[in-house]
Formats: sequence, structure tokens, C-alpha cells
Amino acid sequence: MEAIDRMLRERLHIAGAEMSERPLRADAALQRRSAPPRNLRPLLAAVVLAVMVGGVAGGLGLHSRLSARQTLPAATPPPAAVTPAPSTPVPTPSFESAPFLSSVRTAAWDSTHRQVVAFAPSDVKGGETAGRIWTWNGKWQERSGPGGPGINDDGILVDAPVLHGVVLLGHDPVTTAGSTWGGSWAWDGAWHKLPAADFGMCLHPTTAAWDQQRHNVVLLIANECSGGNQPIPSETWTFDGRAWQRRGVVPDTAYEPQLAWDGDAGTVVMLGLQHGGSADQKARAWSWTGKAWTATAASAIAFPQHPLGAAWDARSKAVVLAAQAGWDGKEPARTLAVHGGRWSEPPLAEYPDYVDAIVAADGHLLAIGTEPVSVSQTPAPTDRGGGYYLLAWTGSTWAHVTYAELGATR
Amino acid sequence: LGLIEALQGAETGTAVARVSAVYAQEHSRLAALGAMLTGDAAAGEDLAHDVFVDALRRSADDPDYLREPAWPWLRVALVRRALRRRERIAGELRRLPLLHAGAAPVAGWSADTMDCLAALASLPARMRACAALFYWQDMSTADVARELGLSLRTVENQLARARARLAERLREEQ
Repeated sequence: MEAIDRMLRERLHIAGAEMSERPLRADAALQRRSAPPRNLRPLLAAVVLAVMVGGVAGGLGLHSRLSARQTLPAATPPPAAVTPAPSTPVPTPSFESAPFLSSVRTAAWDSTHRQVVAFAPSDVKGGETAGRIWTWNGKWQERSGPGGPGINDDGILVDAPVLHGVVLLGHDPVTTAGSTWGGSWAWDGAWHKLPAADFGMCLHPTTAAWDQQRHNVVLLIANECSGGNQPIPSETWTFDGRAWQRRGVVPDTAYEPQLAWDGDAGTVVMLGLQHGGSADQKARAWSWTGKAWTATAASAIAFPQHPLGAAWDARSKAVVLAAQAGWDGKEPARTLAVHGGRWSEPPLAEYPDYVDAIVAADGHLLAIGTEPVSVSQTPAPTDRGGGYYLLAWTGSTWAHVTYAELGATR
Repeated sequence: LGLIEALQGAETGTAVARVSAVYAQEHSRLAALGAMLTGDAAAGEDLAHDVFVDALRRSADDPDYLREPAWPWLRVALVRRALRRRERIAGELRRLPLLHAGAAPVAGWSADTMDCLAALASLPARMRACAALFYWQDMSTADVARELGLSLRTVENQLARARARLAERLREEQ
């Protein structure tokens, strides 16, 4: 990790120095002198108005801003026309690497079609911004098509059988220059725009789970407005396929709580760090009653530094939480299990060093990540290449999984 | 008046002259940071420009507003402006071609610099801010957390993911 940090620091320092020494300004300032002077007030007013009214006015606002830059050197090339990929199955070796590399941000199990669905938040196709989507039912297949969500880099996918597919949960949609940013969508083989939740400024979904008992999606939304002076507490919301409901502020949790279906308890659970316990940072679980969270007894196990996601593991009859290695390299990758509010930490043999997404798949905890490495190799070697694979938690390690194996332990 | 015109016409000893001096010293670095935070050179330039317009306006009300060292104020102002969702939309929309169609030479920047910019552009905005402040501005994780208004653990989480993605992306480019 230190080697990677050193490399990144060095490269960004060199880039930063070059950008500072040879700025756009040398050209831009000269260009500006001959261009109409820009005044802040109308500029800001145009942008704010554009965002507020969206649509046509948005386009005008953005274009007015961009037009002031038309004399500048092009910072970006014109979008290349990209032919949408056909829905052709990728040839499948025994353990096929995913046809994407580190571009997927979120994935979910689609219980209706019994497949994994993975989503990359944005791409450019024919000049239009669009999300890309892949499915896995033993083999990866790109399913991107026309329409659907545009830029959605904070969106999260969750199973939603009530809509016969999965739901991409995003922050409140903003439309400008004809492109929509954010919003929530259903995918059942095609994209369908969902009604806006009206979460409010600064709030976006961070974790979600399908409540098999109440037949709705339970989700947490959190503050995304970095730099704010007053943190906004996370909130619990539900979505039944038609309407959104705010269920109140999340209690007492602190760091990145994760939601998962608990097959034993028959409800959604929230796994998080007990707030106010910064000295010991113990893990805690809460059960969803349909209206509020009920805390279970505090655990003696420290909550991991970087939780990735959680899922019901039918084999061990527990909710399993996966976490990546700590930022400073001191905490290894961890996998914790919660059963009846009691936490345990089974020994971990191997782990995927890089994880794109965690999937709660019908009794299995899956990860889309790199080839597992031994815990004894922490920190993992930095010079390995390779692709991303679908891996399953076995109870003691992460291993490649076949579609048949997924079905065998339903 | 436009910013350049206002700064060029500053009388010695005035608040505008002070902003002008800071502009001469820090604008390039600020635009570079803006480019890293947005993943787009022109958007970074825009951000830096807007920060100085703001500084100019505030200095008109309070001549001592922009105190030395000016860089921390400029950095904070730029970071917060970059992360405001509504203000970053234009930049985000424009960075996509850069991200997916490959980096284009800008103002004579090297391929390595453009690779860095494209790699940063591939990260979500908040993660990108953490990475730029940590790796380029050499800020500690605690300082990044303070500057971005995030918890230390959130910053570390964002950095852990940024590290993985940047390392992979930049390794690809080599």
C-alpha cells in the first residue's frame, strides 16, 4: 500500500506541477480579454435558474456558460460515437472474468430473473450519457440499451421483485442541458423511470435491502454535501414500487451502516458502529420493525473500518458483513457474521483485494472483485493484473462460484 | 466588469490590488486543483475563476477579508464549490467524453498528466476530492476530513477505494 501511495503521490505531484506551470489561463486570460466580460451575477443566476427549472431553461443556462468557453482550447474531445454493444453472451471459460474493469459501482441480485445485475454509472454512447448494465447468470452479458439513467455515480442497485427486476436508487434527479443526473429507475430488462422520492438536497441512498416480509425496499439516505458545516443525519425510507415513504432519522448509528435481509429473523437488519463509542467502536445490529429500528445487545467485536456490504448467508444462517482492508494497512480485510444479534468473526483465509460491488444473492454473499489473495499476503501484492470475478463467501474464504452452485443452496 | 478587467484596473494598496496579487500568485495552482477535483481542465479553470470573483466581491465589503496565507481559504472555497452538486453538473457532463474517449492534450500537458486527470475523472466527486487533497495537497486524512466536512472514517474509506481505482487505472495506462 505504501508503494501505491508513493506512486500516486508522485504522479499527482508531477501532474499538479505541470498543470500549475502551464495553466489554461495563459490562453484563457487572453481569450477572455477579447471575449465579452463575464459577470458573476448573471452567470450564477443562469446556473441556479437552469437547475431549478430544469429542462429547456437548464439547457439555456448551461449553454450560456459553456458558450463563454467556446474560444478556449478544447478540454475534451467531441464524444466518440460508440455503437451500443449487442446483447451477445461473452464466451465463458470455467471462471470468466467480468467484461468490465473497475467501472461497476453497484450490483444486485435480481430474484425475478435469478441473475446478478451490475451497473456502471455513466458512459458516453453516441454523444449521450448513459449508464451501462451487465447481467450474470453463469455468464456475463451486456444489456445496455437506449434510454435509462444517465450519470448516476452514487446510485445503488437493490432487488425489487415487486417491479419484476432491480431498482437503481439515486439522489433526486436534476435535469440540465437535456441530460438527467441521478433519479431512481427500475430495470426489468429495460429501464423505467421511477417517481422522484424528493429526498432533498444533499441526501442520497447509501444502502438498501429488499424486505421480503413487507414487500418493499428499505433504504438509508445520507448527507453527500461535503464541506457542509452541519452534518445531516441519515434517514430511513421505504419504497413499495409505487410510493416513497420517509420513516424517520436513523438512530445512533455512525459509520456507513449496511442493510441486509435476515432470513432467520424475517426482517431487514442494519449493521453499524454504535455512535458515541469512538474509543472502542463496537459493532451493533438493529432490526427493522417496519416503522423503526430496534437495537440488539452491543457486541464486543470492533466494527470494521471499511464495510462493503452485507447479505443473508443461508449456509451459516447468519447475516454476513464483508469489509475491505483498512486504509492504513493495519486492519486486514474482515468478514463478520451476525446471528440473532450476536456477532462473530470467522477466520478469513483469502479475500479479494479490490471489490467493485457486494451482492446479496438469494442466501449467498457475493463480491465482484479481483482474484482472492491470501490474508498472509496483506497488504496484497501491487503488481498483479487480472480481471474482476464473481466470488462467493464460503464461510471461511472467498472463492469463484458457478451458477449451479448458487442454486444448490437455495 | 469581468474578473481580469477588474484585477487589471486595481489601484495600488486597495483590496482589489491585494486580490490581484493573490491571483497572480495562486491562480494557476488553484485552477490545477480545480481540474483535479472536476477531472476537467476547463471546469477547473471556471471554478478558480469563480472563487476569485467571490474573493473580489467579499473583499469589496471587507478589505481585510483575504488574509495571508490566502491558499487555505482559496482551497476551501474551491473544494466546497466543486462539490456542490448543482454547480458541478456542467463539469461532470463535460468530463465524460474525457473519461471514456481518452485524454486529449490540453495546454501542452503531457500524456502522463492527462492520464492522471482522466483517472481522477473516473472517480465519484467526493472520492476524487479526497484523493486530490491527500495525494497532491499532502493533507493528512484528518485535515481532509475537516476540509470536506466528513468523518475521518469516511475519508479513509473514500481514499481506500480511490487508491484501488487510481492504481488500477494508472497501471492500465502505463
